[in-house]
Amino acid sequence: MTKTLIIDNGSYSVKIGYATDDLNWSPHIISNSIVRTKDKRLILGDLVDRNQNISGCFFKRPFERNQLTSWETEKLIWDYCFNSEDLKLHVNDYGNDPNDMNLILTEAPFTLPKITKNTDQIIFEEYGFKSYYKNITSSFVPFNWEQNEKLYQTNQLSGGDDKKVYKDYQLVIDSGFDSTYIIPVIYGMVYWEGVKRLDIGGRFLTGFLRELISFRYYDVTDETILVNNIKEQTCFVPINYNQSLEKLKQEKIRLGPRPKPGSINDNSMIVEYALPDYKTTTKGYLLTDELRKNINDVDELQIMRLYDERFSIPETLFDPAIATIKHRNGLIKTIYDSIYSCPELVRPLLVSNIVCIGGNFKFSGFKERLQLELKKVLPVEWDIRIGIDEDPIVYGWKSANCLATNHMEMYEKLCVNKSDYYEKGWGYVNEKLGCKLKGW
Amino acid sequence: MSSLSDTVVSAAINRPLSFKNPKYNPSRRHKPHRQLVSDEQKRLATLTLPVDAVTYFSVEAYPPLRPQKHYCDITGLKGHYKAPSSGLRFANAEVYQVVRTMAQGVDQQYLELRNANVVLK
Repeated sequence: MTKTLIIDNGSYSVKIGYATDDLNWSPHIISNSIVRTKDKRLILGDLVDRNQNISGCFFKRPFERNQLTSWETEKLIWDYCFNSEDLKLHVNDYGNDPNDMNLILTEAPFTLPKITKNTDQIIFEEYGFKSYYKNITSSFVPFNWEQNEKLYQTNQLSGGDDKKVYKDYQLVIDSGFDSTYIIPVIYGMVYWEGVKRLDIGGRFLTGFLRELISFRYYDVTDETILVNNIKEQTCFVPINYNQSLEKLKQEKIRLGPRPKPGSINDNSMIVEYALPDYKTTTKGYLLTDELRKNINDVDELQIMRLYDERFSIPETLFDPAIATIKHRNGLIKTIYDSIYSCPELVRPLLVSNIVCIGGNFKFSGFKERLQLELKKVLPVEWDIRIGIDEDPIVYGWKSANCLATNHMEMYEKLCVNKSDYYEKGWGYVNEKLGCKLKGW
Repeated sequence: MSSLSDTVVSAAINRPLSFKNPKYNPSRRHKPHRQLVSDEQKRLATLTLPVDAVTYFSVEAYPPLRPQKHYCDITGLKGHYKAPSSGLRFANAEVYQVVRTMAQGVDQQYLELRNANVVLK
């Protein structure tokens, strides 16, 4: 039987796996980078966790501002994914052969034509897959409409969709590593006129946190991985930024300049992060009440207290003015612009079918905040439904899996065969899979 | 541990891949993002596109209609004024005395904090 390989090639991580009937199965997540360590060794980004020293690592990523500029690097990472014993994908072993394998690949929106051409060449000439379908990650989300409905957590089901392959109207917010895209998908097709991009992503947020910590507490300019861990473990999206600041101020006044041990607990706005001491921990960890009880000498730890950084960092998405260097509209205004550049009739339909994918939506409180803010700017009678999966990183992959397992006949219509590529050339592939825009 | 990851990687990177065409010669050269974007700009300039055409450049979020807020570089209060000599923003006359009597080079260090310093190349 012909297997289907699905690769969600994001700028931070590659999500890879064979299409399965088990729609809840999560794909392998491989860091999309090559790391040069302090002692000048090159290792794949995915293996850096096994490395003892995470300090001073330099990342080389194939993606540069959402464009796949370096296939030389990407190919090494793909080769590792295809052949690694850890993942057990065995793309060219154990009876598997790419010549008899379908491929579903995702790419970033507005990938420049030159780069797209490189990708098509590599898929067919270098790896030689039998057939291949490529689109942006968000365009797969409508196929996963059953799961989407569950995410909205409302009992009211929109009727008449039972026999549909995909949801007719879907607004996807894809907040990834390099940038945040707002993408309306109408009748299963991306409505390019409504697509908007906000140049703030996980990379920017980590960088901003690194600058704040370096300026206020310790110099962490070399510690990208550490700062990323701190961001993932401590940051949250506030319901109201000014209120949170005020609450924090009250707490600071109450605790005084030197808080007594035990006065900071899980309920307080202030958190303590134990920095790596390279004896007990090489990565550092968040101090929770449970850990405080178990560790005898808390005074021995080198602790960093985080105050407003916890919510100022994610708030940058809503109000880029916080980071002072970006004079741009925030996320809410960008969503608003995107909705209002769609045809008038579908606007309310899009608003009631919003799904968020991408790693930034792992910040807690994102859904509540989005709901609140969108309510302020959109007409009252519009029903706002927002869905964020528990694991928004792999949601795009799972949606592509829905296409591959439930609607293979759809895939057959969409895909490009290798024989067609060799007969009709790249122009044909681009016509079928490329971005259908004037002058693209 | 490190030796293990090394062997795994070198095995992954150096392993001969049976499904690859050995004669395939990629004639691509790595182009940085900046160059690709300027190429795209040149390409678009040669086309006659409608005013509202969607391109790589037109999808970016718009700048806001509200003016940018400015803050004092020394105190962090609202900075309504800008020193003509150095470009530093300041809150009031009291702070201006500090700005005016600043030693040479210090003003650039303050500007560097908000990436507004002059970089000589």
